Amino acid sequence: MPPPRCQLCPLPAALLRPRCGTPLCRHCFMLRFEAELLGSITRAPGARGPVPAPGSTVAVAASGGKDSTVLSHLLQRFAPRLHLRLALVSVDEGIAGYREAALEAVREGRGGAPLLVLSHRDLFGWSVDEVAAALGAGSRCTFCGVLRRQALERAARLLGANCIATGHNADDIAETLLMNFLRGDVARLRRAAWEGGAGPTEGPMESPTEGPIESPMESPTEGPIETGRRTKTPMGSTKDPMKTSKDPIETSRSSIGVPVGSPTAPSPIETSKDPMGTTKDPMDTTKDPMDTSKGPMGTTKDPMKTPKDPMKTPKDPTDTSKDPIETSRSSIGVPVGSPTAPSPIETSKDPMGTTKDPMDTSKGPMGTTKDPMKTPKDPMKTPKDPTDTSKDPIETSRSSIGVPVRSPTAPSPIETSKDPIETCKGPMGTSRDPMKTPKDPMKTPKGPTDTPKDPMGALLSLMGLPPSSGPTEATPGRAKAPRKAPPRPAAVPAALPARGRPWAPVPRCKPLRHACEKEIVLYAHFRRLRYVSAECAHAARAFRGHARALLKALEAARAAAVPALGHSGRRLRVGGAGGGGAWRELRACARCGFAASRGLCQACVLQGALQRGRPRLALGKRGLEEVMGEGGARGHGAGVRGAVDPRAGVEVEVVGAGGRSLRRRVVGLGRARGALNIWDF
Amino acid sequence: MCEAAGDGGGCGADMGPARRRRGAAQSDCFREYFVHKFRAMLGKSRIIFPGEKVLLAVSGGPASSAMLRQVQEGLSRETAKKLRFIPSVIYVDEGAVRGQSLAQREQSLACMETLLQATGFPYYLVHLEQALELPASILQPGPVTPSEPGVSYKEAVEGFIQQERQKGNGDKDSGTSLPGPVSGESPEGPPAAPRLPPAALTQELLKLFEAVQTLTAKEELLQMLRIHLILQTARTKGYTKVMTGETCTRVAVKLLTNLALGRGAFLAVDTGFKDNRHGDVMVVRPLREYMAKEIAFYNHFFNVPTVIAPPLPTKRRDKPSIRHVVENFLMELQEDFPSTISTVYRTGEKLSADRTKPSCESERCLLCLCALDLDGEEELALEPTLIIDDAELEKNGCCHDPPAAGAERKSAYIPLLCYGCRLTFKELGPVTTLPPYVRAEAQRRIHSVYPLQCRDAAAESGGSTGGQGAWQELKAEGQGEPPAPFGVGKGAGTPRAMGPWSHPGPPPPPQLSITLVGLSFVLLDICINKPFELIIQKINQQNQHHGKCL
Repeated sequence: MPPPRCQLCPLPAALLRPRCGTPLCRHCFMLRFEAELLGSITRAPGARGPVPAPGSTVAVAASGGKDSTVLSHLLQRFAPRLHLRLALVSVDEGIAGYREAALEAVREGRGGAPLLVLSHRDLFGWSVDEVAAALGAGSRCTFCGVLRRQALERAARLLGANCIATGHNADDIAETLLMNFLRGDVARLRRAAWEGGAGPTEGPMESPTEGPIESPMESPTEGPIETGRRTKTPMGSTKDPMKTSKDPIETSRSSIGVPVGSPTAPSPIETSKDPMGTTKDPMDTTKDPMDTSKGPMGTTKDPMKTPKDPMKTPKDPTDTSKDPIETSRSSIGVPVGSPTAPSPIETSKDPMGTTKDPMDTSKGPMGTTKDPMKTPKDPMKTPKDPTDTSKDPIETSRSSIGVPVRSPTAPSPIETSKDPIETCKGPMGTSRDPMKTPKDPMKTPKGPTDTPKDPMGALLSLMGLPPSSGPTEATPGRAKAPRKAPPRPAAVPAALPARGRPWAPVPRCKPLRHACEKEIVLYAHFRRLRYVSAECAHAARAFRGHARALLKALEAARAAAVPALGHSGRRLRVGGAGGGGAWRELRACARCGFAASRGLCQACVLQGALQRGRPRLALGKRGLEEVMGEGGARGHGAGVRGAVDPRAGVEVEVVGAGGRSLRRRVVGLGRARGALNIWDF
Repeated sequence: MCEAAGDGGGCGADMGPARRRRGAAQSDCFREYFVHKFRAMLGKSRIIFPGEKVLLAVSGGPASSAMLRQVQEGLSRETAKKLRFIPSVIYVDEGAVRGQSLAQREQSLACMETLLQATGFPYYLVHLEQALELPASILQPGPVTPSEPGVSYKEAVEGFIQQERQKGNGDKDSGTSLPGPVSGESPEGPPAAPRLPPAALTQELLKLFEAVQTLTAKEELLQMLRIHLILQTARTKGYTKVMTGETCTRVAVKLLTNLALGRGAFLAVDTGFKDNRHGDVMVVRPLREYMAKEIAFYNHFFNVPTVIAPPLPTKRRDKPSIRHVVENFLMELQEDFPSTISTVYRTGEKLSADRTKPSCESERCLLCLCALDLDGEEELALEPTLIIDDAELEKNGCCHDPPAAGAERKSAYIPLLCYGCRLTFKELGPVTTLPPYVRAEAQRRIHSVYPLQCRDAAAESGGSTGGQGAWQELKAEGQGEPPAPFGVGKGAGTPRAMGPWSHPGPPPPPQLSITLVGLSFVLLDICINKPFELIIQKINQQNQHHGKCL
């Protein structure tokens, strides 16, 4: 029997599309397939779900399997046209005999995109094989999956991605639906149904609300300083930071109108500052007026303000609008008055807060490239200042680029705004500046010169110009190295979440959601893409296997059953609680600050249960109470083993676009957006 | 221990032997439990009003036979606990499509008839062939019964009890005689000689079923015809409720089956306790909480007679139906995970039926009467439901033709159907084999909707659909990455037949600018009709040879 003719051209068909039975020749099929993917990431009519906006950054979850290989191949083809910036993210779960080959395939087949590899072992302290050993017989796939999603989330945040693209295909979605139905997982059924409709909107704000908790997390970077911070935190400054941080952001937005800038750095920095600040107190008072004035003024005023305070003057200019030149000047000036100089700004915040001030000031510069300014705060830093100043030109150039965007938002306005607030609040006030981020980042960009302190920082291009917010590195020496979260490219919404709100989860999109598995395999075959198809050693125990078996049988009975299941899943009307709203409001996980529907996110619950040596508990309903009850939300309990100290930083593997592979140590992984500029490697 | 009462009550006797040995006392407990469940289900739902006429759909299988027995027992109880509705029984003879010979059909009919006569209820014997004579109105929801909204259930019950008392005082016989043996009343001819429908009708029915391409669609079709027949009987005879005997097991199977059929939006209606999509007649499923196993035990203990109907005949190369697949799967999984079926059932319980009620006719599925579930769906997701009609392509756009010509095309039906029904409909035979009432109703709907439809088509033809748009863009930019192995001209890229009703103009004739290389490949491939895979490989090799990469 001769093959039927291609529906679109006179050639003999090479396949019948499983979804609709259309005969297509090989070439038409590939064009069609690509067009469909393109349609699904560019708001084709009727398209749903998050779609990466042009100019945004997409983290592609790459496992090395067929789906993600095809996905990354296609996205890389379309990225220039859609003005997307891509990075691959792989997670090494630590499954012997399974992941190694796949990771190798990802490294080889990654095309031009940089790759970031995280591992469960480094991130959470447990590889899946170890979890399996601890669990005995039982579903380790739950652990693996939950942790993997968390890892992806953190990686995406680290990279400053606006969107995570995963390779889920129509078969996966149908399989998940069947599995959830067989298990009676109503919550997930409901969520899937709503994702089919309108996905969750990304909250404008990101930062986790709980200052105290966060601060320990982040502070880790700054070893010596941290201790100081912590001691202070009890002082009460912690609360304020939250509020203050919010306010500044808002103020900055309102005044400047640029939402972008204030990303996120958590308060910890501020807390650390506190000790510093005490000295500053006198200064503060003077500053306050200054700051307040600044707030309204916005960036432009800064120069003006600076004059007001002898101390501050140098800084202020740096803060915002002044530009490289001013910054340089200020930087120069700073060294002299530096100890005092930082204080003024901060001082305004609080007597208490004074400690922060240095930080803030540092931030200010950071945002605008003022770094030199900040350094002055500490006698320690003063030495830096010169370096900074030297850097300034460079930075200024950068800053000039960044300035238009950021500077408005630049920390200084924020800080200023805070100050008044803080003052009212009282001693507490200082704790967080969103801006704080990182001196470090600043330094790193500046370069080698600063770096002596941070070996790490130099390596990391953390500071990456555009994405600035990450406090990623801890510069041990520079405890205070405040970090400032530089504003990201305009496309990225600013990220400070309101108090009590979680970091907004990075939206996920599934560009292949309508592609059948068979078509993906065919496409990979036609394009000669190399992928790994290994079965995970633990998969045999997963309940998902039953759902998969059913799906395969259904597909054999009627090929259209797969898309039909997808349709059913999107159309399910799950009643019960929150019938209309459907989305339970997400809170911030008390440990990690990421979105959680309960007190702790599931990843932290699992981790906690593992540390406690009772991993099975986490799978049950009592897991949360168990984990929260004992160690408390903050405590890191006496881990049986494997407790990851977040302060220690996490080692990640970075493969740059050029193919250079490095292992980097990143601190505060995922806390701030865009801390790691992987594209400059 | 026997814990039939569920709260530590029961008779306390050893349970295991009870089930196996049919000891008198123990099986009493089981009976109590069983009966209580049935009555509780009806009682708490409060939708069967006293004195209401209820049609029991009995197939002769275990579940519906058990249901029949339950009703029988309920009506024969002492007054306080008596069921208060007026039951009748309907049996649909599907022997024709189940591959029974005439003699077999006669025999099973007679068997069924004696069984029904024994119950003493009025009964109707209906043949599936009669579905071909249904009126088109069966596809429209009837007017909602006036009695329900007016009176509350409690009032109705009290009023009924009052009436009963008065009647009882006046004339004792007539009060109890309602459900009495009135077999002679059977409207379907004299019980002595059940007549089979004319052979011509049977042939037509067989033709309808034989034209169906898959077993899945056959089952769906049979189910639809059956419910329509029952519905018609209920309407013409004035019944407002229909009871079907779907067990928990069956409901679980149906839930997953319907999921796979794409009917996710209607799961609650399709499997819930009450199904009122038809308006005037409500379908009730009182056995939903019984496992198939319980039913089997009940039938076994209490000698409930059943009649086994053969399954739909299958050919060897037929793929199994989706329902078979799901059923086998669930039964297997149930062995490893004994709570599987009840879990699926309970998951189904949590689905709500809101928004399945269509607000107007144009939003109602032609076949299942549910609200169309296609609004806001992505284009790619709808692709599997569309029919590419070759005949349609040859005509110059349906919009300019009189709709009468287009109405008999299969693709013309698609806009009238919901997602799941579209998939099933695609697998049905040509339109001419469809039951007349479906065709008549479709004609009416197509005519009435026609102007609107035309507008839609015009709008749609303006902007090509997303995927195709992007695709054309791709082609236009010449970025179809690897150089096309065969120079494919513009014409080949024109979207064809994506929307069944949107074809503004004739597709441009294929303009092929076939390059030399391409031509040689075409000839080569046409000459050698090897399996596709070989061709592909060959092309690949050739391309490599030419330094191209596909």
